[in-house]
Amino acid sequence: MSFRAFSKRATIVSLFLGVLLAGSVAFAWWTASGTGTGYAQAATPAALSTLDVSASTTGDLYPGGTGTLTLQIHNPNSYAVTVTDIAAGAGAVTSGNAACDAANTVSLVAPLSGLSVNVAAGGNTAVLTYANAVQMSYGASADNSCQGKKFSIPVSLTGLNS
Amino acid sequence: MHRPFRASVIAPILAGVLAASAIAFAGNIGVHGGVMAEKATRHLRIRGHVDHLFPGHGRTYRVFVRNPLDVAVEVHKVRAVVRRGGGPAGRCAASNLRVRTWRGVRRVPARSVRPIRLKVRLRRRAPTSCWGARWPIHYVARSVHR
Repeated sequence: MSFRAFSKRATIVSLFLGVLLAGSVAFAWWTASGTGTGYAQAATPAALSTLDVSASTTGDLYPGGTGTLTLQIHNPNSYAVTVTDIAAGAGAVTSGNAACDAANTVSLVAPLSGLSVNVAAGGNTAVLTYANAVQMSYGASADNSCQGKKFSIPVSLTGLNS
Repeated sequence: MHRPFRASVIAPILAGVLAASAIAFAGNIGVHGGVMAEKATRHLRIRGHVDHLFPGHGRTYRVFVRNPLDVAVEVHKVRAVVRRGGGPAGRCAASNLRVRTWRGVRRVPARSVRPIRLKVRLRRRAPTSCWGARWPIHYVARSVHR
């Protein structure tokens, strides 16, 4: 390579780098980046509650028989929920009569599953009824004091946000 | 003969060094302290958070862009990088949360703050461990001087 050719190449490289320099300075002057932090937080769900869960409101329970479960569900959350399962909850079934309560005769026949009950955000369902969902047991435990009583049954509700 | 040869060699090297410095300056890479530290504190600042998210639902929330510079800027893009979250129910992957990148033009006058709305959505099938979780978010904005 002759000195003249080398010098020409050096000049071109110098010009290119000079343009790059000017462009970079202009870019630095013209743009402004920014950063910052924040967070997103998911809601903590509140438990569904029931306004009324009772059995035998129509007086259809008798020892050895099954009756209708009625309930109304309240959703305190800010989003709608679909209830899919209803099972026996913690606590005792009560009737308002100590002798009847001690006999402990009424229970759910089986958990109710595969349901699709929509509960609006902050709303209540209509009164739901499930026929043959509760039962009264036979024998000595079926106390006469239970006649004509309305039983309050604790239930556990399972649902999904919808 | 010897003198122009040296000039031809030194000139591109000098130009190269200057160009590299300018690129580093523009990109804020590999430089710490001094002028760069002062410049870094003068960049746009973005703050914003959102809460009460629940699976399957999207929300719009505001982030605030603070311009500490003496000139107005036009923000063209705000991107949110979500980190892994955690809460009372356990850890929750960042992939469960989607924050859409904002693109547009929002003028932020000198030494002032303007809001930009971002859309966020918690995945419908987010696991139970995501309930009550908090995800740190890092915002990155692009803007030009106006």
